[in-house]
Amino acid sequence: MTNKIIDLEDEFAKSLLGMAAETPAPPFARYDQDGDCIEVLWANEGHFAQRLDKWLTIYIGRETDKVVGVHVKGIKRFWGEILKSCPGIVIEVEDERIPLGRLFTAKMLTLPDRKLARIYKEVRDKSEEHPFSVPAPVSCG
Amino acid sequence: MAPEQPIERPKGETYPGAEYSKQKSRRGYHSVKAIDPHDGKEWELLLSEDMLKYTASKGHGAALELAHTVRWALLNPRQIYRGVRDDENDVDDDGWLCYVATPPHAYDFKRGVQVPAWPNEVFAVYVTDERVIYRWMWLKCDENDLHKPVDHESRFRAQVF
Repeated sequence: MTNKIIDLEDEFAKSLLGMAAETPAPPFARYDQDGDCIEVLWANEGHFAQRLDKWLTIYIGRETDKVVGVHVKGIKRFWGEILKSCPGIVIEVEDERIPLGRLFTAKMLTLPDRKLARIYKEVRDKSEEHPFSVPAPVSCG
Repeated sequence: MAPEQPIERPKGETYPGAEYSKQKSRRGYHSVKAIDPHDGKEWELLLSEDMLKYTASKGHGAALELAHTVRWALLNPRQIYRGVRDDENDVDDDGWLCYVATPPHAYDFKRGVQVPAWPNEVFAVYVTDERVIYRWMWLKCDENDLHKPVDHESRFRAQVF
């Protein structure tokens, strides 16, 4: 089977590489509307992904072996599950957005697994160092 | 390119794009070629301009990963999985696809240069049922199969290519 070759001189690649930042400045964070997910990267370090539960994937830095980022999927359902575990929980919303740290704090309250809760706490603490917010699901607050 | 595994289609079900066009375009999105799991030929997926800009903001290494590794994986997948399961094995994102490949190269984010692929890892690209690419990442491989991601048996509903 012959592998298909990618042309790094085509319009897509040229446009993308032409936009690439010369001096990237982390943290990087983005909410993706198509995937209803967020990615936060605290360091410009190569990494691999490790899935912790159905919501949270952490990025482990190849040089430091530390958590350098996270990916959270299904933000709307993520909140729905917190509500199921903690009915009546209220979270403070700012301009229809929730600071990510608060979402992780709420999630920590629902976790019986202390090891997993510790990791959520670690990413919560990092999230509070560099505030980033996500669109608030309707049921919040 | 022939599918490596028999296509598993649950009885009475179709999967995304059962009635579809090979081409795909949307305002504010780029069309990206990929292997179509239905027939092993090519179809188009979408990638938002916003995602392109975000990736570029991470520097040359990240941009090269998208320009080369992501597109390589979409055209040279080892497997394509459909449907992401949750911890209780309920099917979660039923129609979503995950392309898994073992590219020959990776990119060093800090130096922005090509390096050999990371050992014992596979590259995964995730696609929504609207055929939008929404994330990609290196994952540890299954210790018994270097071309499959760890936990692949419990993570996906079916291997469709």
